[in-house]
Amino acid sequence: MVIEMEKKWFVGFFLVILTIALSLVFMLGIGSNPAAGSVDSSDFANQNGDIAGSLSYQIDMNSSMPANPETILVYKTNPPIVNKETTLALAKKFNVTGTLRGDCVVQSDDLMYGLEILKISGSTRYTNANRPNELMDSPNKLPSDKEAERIATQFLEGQDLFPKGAYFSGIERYYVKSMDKNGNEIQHYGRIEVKYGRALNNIKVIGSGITVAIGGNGDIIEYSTIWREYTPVKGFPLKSPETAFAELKKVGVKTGIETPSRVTINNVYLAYASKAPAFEEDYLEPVWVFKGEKTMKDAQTRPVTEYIPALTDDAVKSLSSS
Amino acid sequence: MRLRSLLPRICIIISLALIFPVAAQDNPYRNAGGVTAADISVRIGPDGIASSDMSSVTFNGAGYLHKIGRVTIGIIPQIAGLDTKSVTNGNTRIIGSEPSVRYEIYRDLIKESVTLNGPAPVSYSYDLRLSDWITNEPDLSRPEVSYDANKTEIVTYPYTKQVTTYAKDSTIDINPDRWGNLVVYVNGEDVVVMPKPFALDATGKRFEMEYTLNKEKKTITVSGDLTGAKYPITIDPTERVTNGGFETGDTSGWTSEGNPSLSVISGGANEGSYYCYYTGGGGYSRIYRTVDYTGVTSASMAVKVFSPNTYDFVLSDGYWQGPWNFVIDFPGQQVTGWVTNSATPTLSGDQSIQIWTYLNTQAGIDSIHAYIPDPPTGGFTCPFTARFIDLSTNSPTSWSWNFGDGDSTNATQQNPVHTYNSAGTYTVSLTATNADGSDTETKVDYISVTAPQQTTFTVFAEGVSDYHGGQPPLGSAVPLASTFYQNIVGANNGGISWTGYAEFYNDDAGSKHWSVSEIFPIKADNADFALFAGHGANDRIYFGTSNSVLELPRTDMQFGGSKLKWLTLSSCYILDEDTQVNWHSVFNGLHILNSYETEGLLYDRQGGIYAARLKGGIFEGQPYQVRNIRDAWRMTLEDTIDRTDYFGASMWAEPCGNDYLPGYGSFCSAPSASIQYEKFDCKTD
Repeated sequence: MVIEMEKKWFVGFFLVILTIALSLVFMLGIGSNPAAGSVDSSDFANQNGDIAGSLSYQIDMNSSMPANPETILVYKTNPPIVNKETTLALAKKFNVTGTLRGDCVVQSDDLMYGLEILKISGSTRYTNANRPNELMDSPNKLPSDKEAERIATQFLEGQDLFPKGAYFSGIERYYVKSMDKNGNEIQHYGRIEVKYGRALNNIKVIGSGITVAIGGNGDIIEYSTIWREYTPVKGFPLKSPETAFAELKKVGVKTGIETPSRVTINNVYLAYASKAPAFEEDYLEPVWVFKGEKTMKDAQTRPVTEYIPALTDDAVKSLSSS
Repeated sequence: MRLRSLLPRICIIISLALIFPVAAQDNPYRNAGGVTAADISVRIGPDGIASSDMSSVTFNGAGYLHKIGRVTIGIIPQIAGLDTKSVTNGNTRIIGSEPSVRYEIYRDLIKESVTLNGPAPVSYSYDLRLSDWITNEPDLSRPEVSYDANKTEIVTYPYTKQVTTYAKDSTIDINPDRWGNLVVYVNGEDVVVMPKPFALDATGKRFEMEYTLNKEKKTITVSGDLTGAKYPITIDPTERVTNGGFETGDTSGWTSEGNPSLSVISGGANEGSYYCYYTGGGGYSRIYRTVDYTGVTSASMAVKVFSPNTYDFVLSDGYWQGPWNFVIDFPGQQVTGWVTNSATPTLSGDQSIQIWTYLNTQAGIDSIHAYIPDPPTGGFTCPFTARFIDLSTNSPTSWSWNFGDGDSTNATQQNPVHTYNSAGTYTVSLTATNADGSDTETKVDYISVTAPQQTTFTVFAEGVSDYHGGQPPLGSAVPLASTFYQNIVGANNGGISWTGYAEFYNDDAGSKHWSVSEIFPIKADNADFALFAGHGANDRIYFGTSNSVLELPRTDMQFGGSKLKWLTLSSCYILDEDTQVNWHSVFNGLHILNSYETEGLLYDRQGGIYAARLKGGIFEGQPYQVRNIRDAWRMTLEDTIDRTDYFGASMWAEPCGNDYLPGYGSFCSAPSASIQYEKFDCKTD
């Protein structure tokens, strides 16, 4: 009888251990990299990362959650108006003359100057193909940040290209570089991008804005906009940031080929997200923005940004049918 | 006061831009749109017909109208009563009998044929009097669906939401595209495509037909010598749909074996209104037909797979798989949307084209095309065009160029384009003037023009999808690479042509990729311009597969000179940080060429946009400026990447930083090994 009891206990214990072990294997298998298939390591010599990029599900919140408005005003995207007249009028502001194609592109015959408007989004771009160059746009010929901002703003205002809702949002400098034998970078020439963001309803519109590139001698060498026109529809209910964070933990944070140990979110805010210029947009999507950093294997950190749609499913359905 | 350092140097860029008709740069089916109620039809009188010296068919004014999008084309086979006997079968209308005119309206393309039952050289005219092409199309929604008398769904895609009217002073131009189709441009925008016509007689013998353009009269006449043809003869301008498409509403012409189930489905087709729904017969099964492959340089097939099996869906000229002439392979995975793959056959004459599958795989088949390149030729001269760039200092206000050939065209422009019509050596000078004086710089024998030659560049593009069971982020690499490749290979600007190779390949490890057909040697290393989208590692990139025969270690990759000149990457792998310090090997710099993160691959239209930006082409209805390579890539990423934490970059061997695609601007033939690079944000918040 005692022996029988011990046998049953042993079998039960074995089953428990087996269950735990299988669970662990299963959990680790999912948590480590759900996207990866089975890869024979011999197939990829010297490859130490995930082929298709990975996601991290180990996400910590290191920020207080922002206030959660009950509704947010949703904007419908107006179809862009792009025609011969609008294109030529804009080309005139940049002194671009040449062949008009498709009512939305003007380029000089020598290919030097161009003005184009994307019909799907109305995004515009003026370019000067010869700039920047080493002769005219070497680092010592570029203006200061403050001077660049002044030049860009003055230009936009002077050409009536400074729309309502635009605000100066920052400066980025981009340089053509090379690297010497010791790994030191050499800057050859570059451009200063003066960026103007956009706010609607006192909320930032990510991806929408104006960029003016300044070269040597303070010349305007490029201008681009992602500035769709919107019509307010009405207020729609929002997910709470907590709900959005729970979704983020479910879908994971994209980490490219990196395999970070943890992701820490340290800033959460509400914004609108405008689609990239080549996409058609029906309405301006509100999103919860989660900004933070990923900690790499070498303990270094790199920034991450994720967007979770902020409208509830019911709101999206209602919006689609309206 | 003399200007100081007025002319430090004159920079000249010679391009081989021939004076050549602008070819339609992408799918010519795209723009035409469909019939809309808002189109104003224009009935053409007999005055537009140029038939007197080439037709024995009696035309007397009875006409009918074709309407495509906003454009109405009147075709006037003037036979009494011809328009009174209309037989309708799906989208096909057959009118008349002696001869009969049959036409089909597709979503994007009008097809028509004229059947002659007797010895009657035929001619018919398209009237393209733009002054009458006024349409008011208040299109605000697309697509529009309507039904004909047979309840066949007709899907209409109005071309644009914005342009509502063609003014009477709009410009019209007609040019052949790279396939020999005629494209009608209105205000520089292609709006109608008329495929190159040919005729088939009763024995199947083919007779080439020609278009005759009269730009002044805005007429196009189709004519040809039908001597020796056996009647009935059908003149069918549908070159690009030679052996598939199922647009007749049935599967006639195909023979089946192995009991596959075939049915023609209306709606949801890849092209036109129908596609063939194919269900495998249980074991190996196939459908096949004989096609004349004379002159065919590539074949393609569109497939979507509803119910996959472990085996493939294959288009070949031989048995299932093996060393056959070409294989278009849709491996055993579900394909939810239409995917078009192509291959490069080297066939000639009548061959069997066969579609195989296994077990009960269910798939849709549509748009089986065989392409016969027919680049336009004619009485063009081949002048060289040089672009001169003024680099004077001290803000000159006027410029006077002497190009050395006695032609002063554009001589007072700051950055003129000048055309040299004869071979020779030319001395160039520039005199720049401002309020304080002028200065002249002369460069002796600066321009050397040799007789035009056919120049061929090679392009390589590769993309990987569905690695080991399918991963969505990589799934877009195939259309990215293939669209790019096809658009570049299709480029032909003034004697400059691109060649390349393509194959859909399934390796032993399960990777499906679009790659070179000749894997030995790897073409990328010898290409002039390459795009890679797929795997990477810290010391090599994998051209499509984990199969070692397709990998390219950095030690084998050469850059510059006669080797690879430009490389653009959209790769999922960032090289080890440690290797980034060595810029003398291009491979060590690949990490800055890519879009940095896997999600950079998500937008599969990047390939088409990139190619259109490189050559000032049109993609999905959007024209683009001609841009140099690095700007084209930067702008493509800026247009398509929707995340603020992604980066893009370009790398080149100086002095190639401002290279354009050959034929559209300068292109370094022998760059040095000095590597320069630029990194940029794809999107900022």
